[in-house]
Amino acid sequence: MMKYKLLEDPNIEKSYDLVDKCIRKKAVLNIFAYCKVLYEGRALSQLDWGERFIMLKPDGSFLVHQERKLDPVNWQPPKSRSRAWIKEDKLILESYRRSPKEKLEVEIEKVHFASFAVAEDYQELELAGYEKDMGDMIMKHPSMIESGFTPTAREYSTEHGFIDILGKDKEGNLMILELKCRKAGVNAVKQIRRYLQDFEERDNDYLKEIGSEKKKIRGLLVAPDIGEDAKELLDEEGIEFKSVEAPKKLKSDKKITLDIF
Amino acid sequence: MFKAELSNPNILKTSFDAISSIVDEVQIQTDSEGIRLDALDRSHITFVHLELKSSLFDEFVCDEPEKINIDTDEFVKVLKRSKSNDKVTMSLDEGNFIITFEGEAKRTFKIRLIDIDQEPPSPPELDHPTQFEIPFTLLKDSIADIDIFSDKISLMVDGEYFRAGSEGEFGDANIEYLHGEKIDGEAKSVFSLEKIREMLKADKFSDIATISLGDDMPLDLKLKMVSDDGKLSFLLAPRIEVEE
Repeated sequence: MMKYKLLEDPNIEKSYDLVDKCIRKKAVLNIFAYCKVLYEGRALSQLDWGERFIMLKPDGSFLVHQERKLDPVNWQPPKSRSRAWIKEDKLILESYRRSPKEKLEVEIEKVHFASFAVAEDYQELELAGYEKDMGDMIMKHPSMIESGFTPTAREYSTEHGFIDILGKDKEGNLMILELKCRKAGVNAVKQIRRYLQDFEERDNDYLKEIGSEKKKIRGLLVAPDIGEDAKELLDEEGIEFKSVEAPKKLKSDKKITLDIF
Repeated sequence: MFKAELSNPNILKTSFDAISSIVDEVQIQTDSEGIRLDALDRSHITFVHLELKSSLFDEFVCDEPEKINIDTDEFVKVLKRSKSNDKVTMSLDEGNFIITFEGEAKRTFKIRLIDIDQEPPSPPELDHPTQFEIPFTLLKDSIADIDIFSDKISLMVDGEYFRAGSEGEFGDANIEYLHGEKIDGEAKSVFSLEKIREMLKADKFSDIATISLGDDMPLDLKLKMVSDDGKLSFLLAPRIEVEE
């Protein structure tokens, strides 16, 4: 099977054939062309004539890149429907979506190069070193917070947001943990302060549920490091700090495909 | 010419509920023996196979083999509009897959065929050391039980029991079922709960599920209609713990 096809300086008909074949083959389309882009949908936009990079992915994603900036200047998300046709010697590429109703139309006058590529890639990005991984690690080894610490809930919903980890210390005091994977700032401390207020202001059912008498409520900020201002506020509020690095380890559990059998 | 008529839409509905959650597009192949499809999801983790024999249909005509390429979401949307005792007819015309429901009124839907340039996938050939049957509802319930604690499920079988289990941060769940079949040895593999849940959407296909397991091998799950006129089967790649 052909992996890719590249046309240099193709005319409009040749370019159309390649695009059409690409869409049918479920390949990735890459075009460098002099074009104009119209978008109609939640807003209206027009990008006048210029040389751009157009990419169409088999999942329906459609991107138009200029020669600057990180993000595409116009795009359509996965599952958009694409089609191509020739109108008055110009190649038209359209990407359409029904809800919300959005249409992106690229009018191409001159194609410098056009290619399609059949890419085989079944993997998804694995990330590590984020709050979620920190949370997983603490849930697995709660004693790293302090001996006798028992987590009782994760992502506990309060009026002011989700508490990363709730638990009890060995005396049965309620502990509110806020996790940050980078150096914690003032906002992290303020966040814990709000959670503490949530629990202090009313007789919270949760305390009964986990059998914690309303003794003391401890706020604990868990992060690799803490800023100067944050440290001051933390001391003022009587909130504690525990230095923990987010684990930068990828999952040991591997996703494998049917291809290896 | 292709025409296939069913007395009700339920088998199609339940099959495509599962199929559409696994793949976006499928190629349905028809010939004088019936219809079949083979599909592999984008990430190559789940393989699905559906076979409906001509004997299942009240009327089945297929003069020459056809390949019907459709968007599974569109097909499911149409099937959802059927009533459970509507007569269903599937046929083809120029570039369209036609579905007709006949009940109180006759309703016709046309789904545009899409171009698929690829050959349908073929499943890996596997030789599982164990095979046994369990009630479908038991499997479905096990998934719901495990779901409380984990997003992975381990399936095990030995001479006496089929076991499903999980280890989560807040607790464990374990299900034991005395399978009453002759099985030598043991087998265990771990799977993504979400992927199994997708397959089990086909809950009206059969009351019995046939499972084949091996050590760190794909799960082979087969659903067979009582009348033997149809079968729906899945292969699911395992998750494997690698040593650091």
